[in-house]
Amino acid sequence: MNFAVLSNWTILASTVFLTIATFTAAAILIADGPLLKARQISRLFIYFATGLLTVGLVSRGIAAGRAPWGNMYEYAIAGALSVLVVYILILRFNDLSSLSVFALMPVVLALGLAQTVLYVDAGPLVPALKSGWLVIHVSAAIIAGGGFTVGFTLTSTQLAVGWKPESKFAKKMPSVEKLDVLAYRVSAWAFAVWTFAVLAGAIWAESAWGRFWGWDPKETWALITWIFYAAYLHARVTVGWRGGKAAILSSIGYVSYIFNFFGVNIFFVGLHSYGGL
Amino acid sequence: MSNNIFELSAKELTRWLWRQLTSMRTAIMLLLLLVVVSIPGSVLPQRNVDPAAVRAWIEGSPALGEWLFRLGFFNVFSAPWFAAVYILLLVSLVGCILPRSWMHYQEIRSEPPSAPTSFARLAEHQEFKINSDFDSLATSIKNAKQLKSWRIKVDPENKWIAAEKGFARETGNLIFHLALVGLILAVGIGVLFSYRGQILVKEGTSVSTVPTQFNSLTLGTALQVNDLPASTVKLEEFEAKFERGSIQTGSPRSFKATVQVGSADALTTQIIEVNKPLKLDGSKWYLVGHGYAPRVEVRDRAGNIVFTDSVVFLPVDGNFTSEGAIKIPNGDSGLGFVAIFLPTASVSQMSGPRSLFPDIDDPRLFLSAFSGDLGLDDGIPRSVFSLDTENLKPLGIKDLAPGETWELPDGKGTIKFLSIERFVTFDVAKSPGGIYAMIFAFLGLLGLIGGLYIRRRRVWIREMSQGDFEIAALSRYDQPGLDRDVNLFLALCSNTEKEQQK
Repeated sequence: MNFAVLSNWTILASTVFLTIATFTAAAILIADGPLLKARQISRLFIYFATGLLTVGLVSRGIAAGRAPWGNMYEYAIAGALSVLVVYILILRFNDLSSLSVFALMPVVLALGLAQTVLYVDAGPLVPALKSGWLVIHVSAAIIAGGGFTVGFTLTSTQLAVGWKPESKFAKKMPSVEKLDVLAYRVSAWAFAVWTFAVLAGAIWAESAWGRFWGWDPKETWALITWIFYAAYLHARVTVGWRGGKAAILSSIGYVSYIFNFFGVNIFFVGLHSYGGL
Repeated sequence: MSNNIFELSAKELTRWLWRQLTSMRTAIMLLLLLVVVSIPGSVLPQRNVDPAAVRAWIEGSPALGEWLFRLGFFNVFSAPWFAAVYILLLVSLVGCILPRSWMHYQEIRSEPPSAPTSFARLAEHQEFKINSDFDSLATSIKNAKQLKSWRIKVDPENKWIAAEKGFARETGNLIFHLALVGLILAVGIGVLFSYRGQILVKEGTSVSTVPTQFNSLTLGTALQVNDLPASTVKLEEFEAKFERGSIQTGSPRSFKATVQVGSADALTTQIIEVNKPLKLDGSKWYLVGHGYAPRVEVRDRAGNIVFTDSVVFLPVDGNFTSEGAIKIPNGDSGLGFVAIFLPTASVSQMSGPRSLFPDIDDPRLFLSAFSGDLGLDDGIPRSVFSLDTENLKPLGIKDLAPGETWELPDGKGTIKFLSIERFVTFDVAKSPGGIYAMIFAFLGLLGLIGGLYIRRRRVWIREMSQGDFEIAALSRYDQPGLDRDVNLFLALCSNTEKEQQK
């Protein structure tokens, strides 16, 4: 079996199903009424697409003979899967189906970008990435990214609802308080995973380059992301910063996480410049 | 005390400033400020990383460049203004954490707080009836196995029970912050005793860790040059493999340096790869770069060999188009060559000679010959990779394959391209304190998890009248799961009732 081809087709199929699920979710949001059947179908599509994407990522790993997150394309695919898994886990305990369209949009966007702009054929790694730490450091960064993305979806909805609480849109969404608590829980969790990713990266840096920390652009922006989320966690327990202001801090933190993925690989020269573009 | 800060005494002002500095609000502002001062360090080239890029930037816009240089923007992470921000942040952190640690210590030693007068105002609140008196309920709650980790206080006079759990949350929180300080101190002190140098070695030759052999060397403030361990490494062979398939053609696949280390009577062969440094005499040797060193032989018109050696060429692109200079000084009749080496040659009208593949498939050496005074004796340091041709007389250009010879014009002699050797650059580094940094990092992570996930909560039970009770619970940070705690206590209460009925 040609796993590389299987991987490409399952990822494409997953993207198609997610796009349908996104449109379904948007239609449910616009239409009035509970539409329970439509909600159920939308959810089934999400599960199915997540399964397909898992198959796509695993077969990519088999095709390349290594962990499937060695370049920007693979990182984007793995990141999309991570967002889906985090979102599904949260869905199990909270009714967030009205948010599905916003949770799915970044996933579809990432998958679309990955398959059009970032795509590279499956191949072996450059020597710099051949290390057991690739599995630990990069997968932690991907898992944290899933949490940050879902957190960002919740936070931006929270800001939108807080901005015009009387709007028709706001009435269909969970309350600001609920969004705030959920966003906090998933972001704080992602922050802990991110902390681990940065520390694991420092250990790898010592064994590959002879220093724990060298202010490489990727390292600097990883720290900037960390600082914004740290500021957010503090802001949430500080009078005068709670609510909207704290939410803005975590949103900027998310922007810096995304910039660290795209911007630093494209604009800056550094030790992490092996995006495969 | 007055509210206007201009009317405060010196002591009051100091206290006011200290309170401001250690407040959470200031900590948030300082965190954001740390971001602001870090960004230039990632956008602008940095001297410690790429001095050539810094020079090029300043040449590109001299007026702005010079000011940015003076203000430390090309060395952000060593700049005083950067240090000012993180030192303030550390002081603010310590100033906040130490008093909090003391308060937490006292809180752990104190008893659970009294029951509030009105239970109804608390988030979780229920009234219940059980067929039991207060004292036996209190006893059974105090002795309940399920409540072992709760701290319980009973007030038999006012008929209430207070229970409290989750101090480890604040403990974890404090450990995280203290570990962060420890981590920064461990790294900071480690830097004082660390060193890092880059050293270049050609196949078949040896290098030693003496200052003259380093291309660059950075020593920690607490170290002297003679603190470096004396080691010698001989590069036996360097093997590079590149992707030859159609996917990612030319990407590096594996680099392997075979070296000999030790003294003459006890040589051992070791392998150095990327991600697998060599540990030697307390330092680590990291394989960080490689390139080609063409070996040439130059003879004068009489046929005497005046130069024979391999010359290091610097790679300028991913396919190892490499540039270098060959210099044979001899007063006014010196010879100099500006050269380009291509491991897999191609020449295009647009971009001149360029390599198509990083490995040696079709090697060519492109030479421009010059004669005259090379100016190597005037004491001005010059790059060994370039030749200043301004005052030299051009002799012509030629490209050679290995084994070919060029008869220089004007009877200046010959140059023969003998063979191709490889060179490797190693980073020789030591960064002590790593183990402490790791311990603090690990502690910090544990603390962070505890600080985020342990629930701090209080539960009170009060007898309102014989058989009528009420229960209430409170969580410090509005965390979920209070209902579970209430249910646990209610279950214990009804157990007590059953026990008594038996």
